[in-house]
Amino acid sequence: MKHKLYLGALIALTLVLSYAVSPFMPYLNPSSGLWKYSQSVEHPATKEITGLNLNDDVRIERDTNGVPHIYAKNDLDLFFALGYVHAQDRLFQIDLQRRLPSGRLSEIVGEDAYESDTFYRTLGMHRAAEETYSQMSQWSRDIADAYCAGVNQYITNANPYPIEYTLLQCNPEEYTPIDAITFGKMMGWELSGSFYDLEVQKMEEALGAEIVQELFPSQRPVNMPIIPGLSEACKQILLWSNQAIRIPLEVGSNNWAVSPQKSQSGRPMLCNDPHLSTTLPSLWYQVHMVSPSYNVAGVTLPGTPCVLIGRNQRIAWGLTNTGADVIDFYVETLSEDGTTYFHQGTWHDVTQVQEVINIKGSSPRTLTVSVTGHGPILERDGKQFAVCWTGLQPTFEFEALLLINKASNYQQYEEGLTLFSVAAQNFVYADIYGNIAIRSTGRIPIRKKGTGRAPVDGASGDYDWTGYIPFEELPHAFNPDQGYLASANQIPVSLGYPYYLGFIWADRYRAERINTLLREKELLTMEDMIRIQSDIYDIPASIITPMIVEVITPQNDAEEEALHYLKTWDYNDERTQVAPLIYHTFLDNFMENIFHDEYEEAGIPDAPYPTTETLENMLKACGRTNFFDDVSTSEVETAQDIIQKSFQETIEQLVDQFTEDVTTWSYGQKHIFSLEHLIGSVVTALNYPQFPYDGSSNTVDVAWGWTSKGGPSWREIIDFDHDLCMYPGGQSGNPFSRHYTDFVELWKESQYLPWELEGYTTESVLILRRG
Amino acid sequence: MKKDILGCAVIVVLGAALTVAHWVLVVIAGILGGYLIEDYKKSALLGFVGGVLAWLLLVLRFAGSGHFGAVLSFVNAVAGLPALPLTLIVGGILSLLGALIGATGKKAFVH
Repeated sequence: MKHKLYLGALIALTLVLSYAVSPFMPYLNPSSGLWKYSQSVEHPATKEITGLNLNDDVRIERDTNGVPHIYAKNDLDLFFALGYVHAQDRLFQIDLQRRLPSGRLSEIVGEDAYESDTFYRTLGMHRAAEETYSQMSQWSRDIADAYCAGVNQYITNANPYPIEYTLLQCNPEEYTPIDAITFGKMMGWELSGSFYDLEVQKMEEALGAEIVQELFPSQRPVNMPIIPGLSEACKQILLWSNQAIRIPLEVGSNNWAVSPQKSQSGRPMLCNDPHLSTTLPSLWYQVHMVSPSYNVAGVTLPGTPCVLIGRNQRIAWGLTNTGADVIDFYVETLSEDGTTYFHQGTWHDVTQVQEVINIKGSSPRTLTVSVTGHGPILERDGKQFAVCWTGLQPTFEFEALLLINKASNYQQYEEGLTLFSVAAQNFVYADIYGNIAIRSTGRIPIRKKGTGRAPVDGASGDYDWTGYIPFEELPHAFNPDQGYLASANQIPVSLGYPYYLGFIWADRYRAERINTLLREKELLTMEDMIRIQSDIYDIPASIITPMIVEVITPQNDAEEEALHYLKTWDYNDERTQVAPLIYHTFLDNFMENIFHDEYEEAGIPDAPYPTTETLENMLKACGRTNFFDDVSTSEVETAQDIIQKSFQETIEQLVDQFTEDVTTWSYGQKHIFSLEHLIGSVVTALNYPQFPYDGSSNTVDVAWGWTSKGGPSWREIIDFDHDLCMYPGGQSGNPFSRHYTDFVELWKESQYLPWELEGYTTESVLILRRG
Repeated sequence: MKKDILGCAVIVVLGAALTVAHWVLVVIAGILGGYLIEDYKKSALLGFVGGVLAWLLLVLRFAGSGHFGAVLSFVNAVAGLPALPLTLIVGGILSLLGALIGATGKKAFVH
């Protein structure tokens, strides 16, 4: 009897222990846990995969940087192989990036992603992708199909799946062309799907339209808010949109081209550094692809079948975001039961779509999405906003890029550009014939009335879109006399331009600096291009600092010393210098002290502050604004008072944070760069250690905020002879591969890799054999 | 002595083999080993050692890859604890409990 009791107790204890350790065993299991990732992580020196559904064999050579050079005898095999290598190195990234915009993240993450999924399901990028796919030309559909077949072939072959699957306890699913297009639309959304209109509405209701116009100047005269009382609904929709998990993008970029006449080598030069979030693995994946129709090299987005930025044997191109306003919010009038909406005097049926969201660990939920003629409805606080965004229509960016990838002259390149709709981009161009060009592309709406800067009435039809700015009339230039062209997200047109483009533009500083540097030398070299891409001269600092040091009266030794550093600063935001630390900390305090009191009083404490350029203008005309007065005090403060107060606060904060000895401070102590894995907020071991970094939001070599998670995500300098390139990260998504972060050390010192399309050293060869 | 060696060998070999199918099956190997060993104290000791060795064998398959150190550091970071000893201890304890079940079961139902 005693033994039976013991036995019962032991069995119970075993069950309890097994249950207790079971959550950890997927990771610690000695057979199938994380240990299995110790198996070889690099591509073998030679490997063949046989029996594939190909028309011919494909040879893939990876160079010492892990960049694949794909040689195929026909186009479809080429794109099959591209899909295969993308999946080999970035399968989890591809999977995550397709789940997010399709509203399918809850399937692997659970309840935490539910709100995000409802947002994207409502928006319906996946529905627009289906429509796009059905309207694509047959040849581009074939390429998309071949690409996805390559991804799926790897999913079939892979063992084990990438480590993230073990960490999240899920498996990849079949990848489809709809997924690829949806992800392409997501990139367009991140670059152009701004909800700033709702912020404007909130601010206009709280501060008045004229003040908002002063803080956020528009290209067009200010409109009074058309529909009052939307503030709470805007606030709630903004909260919802903020719950939507994003592919983190910090938007901005530089590109320029130099003509042969201004180039010392006599060859044109083209430079591009898109400023996007710098994740691990990188957003970018570098490839070189060769087939009878293509010989193209550059960066692709894993999950999509084309080179987005790069060159072929005759032409090169690079992108910056145009920043045009391509999204409007229409306040709809719905019938009581929500099945019809009023538009131009008639009731129309609302299209209702059922979306089933599967949630890990819960039962599926059904979401009903209402869509009017303007777009899907986001509903909060009893208000229905239809979102009208150019990306929710069928658009053909893949086709555009595939045409550009194989274009051999400017005319063929422009044929591709005409199809590029979302997000509107400034394409810079150079070719071996000596031509340079720049063109804004994309669908930019023409409105019947107004600018769509804030939500408008949807029922009247008065604010509907009537079409898009014709391609020929989009801003462009070809072989200008000045010998160069540049863009840096600045407003691309002068006031005389007949169409309204938008109101969110980067401050002029980066563009001004690039233009100055390109202009100052008669003949430019590749070294000059490197110098410009890594330039950290802070133009607004050079304007604002002399204005503030003039009025500051130091109150103690630390302030005296700090002031000395500001007065002797060369205005370079260099990590080793003291002055940029003081200046940028001051700028934060200064903005806070100028605007927070008014925002707080108006009930919008979290509303965005204006840009540095607006601050510069306010300082230059300080008598014309009341913002310097602190409305929470009875006295009337001047700009000088606020400067003095902000400076004192700055030095107190820095003394607290570091030491009293100002000479020991440096910008890099506080200004750091972060390279986080896509799930790095959960699994921090996947992240790269943070490091000090130069630059700021207004320097050519850009970095945002104190802990910057974005910057030059790809640097290319092309002269069709000794091209250079670099991106932060590495080719592999496998954290144990040496190609996971092998570019980071070079990138952070603004160094480059030679971009070799021939004569490279081959590290591994993969042969894909037809069955 | 012979029974002890046999019992321990069963735990190591069968424990490793069954763990490939599912980690909890190391308990079954422990039960069989304990049944053969019979003695409580020896079952406990050899059950633990056998479980540790069984799982160590499985992990050691990956140790020669050159990336094992990196993976070990990563798993340590994810677990927040020294992961390899933790893994082996879990295997050892599960096997120990299995061995005690085996030994006790034999006393309860066979003798």
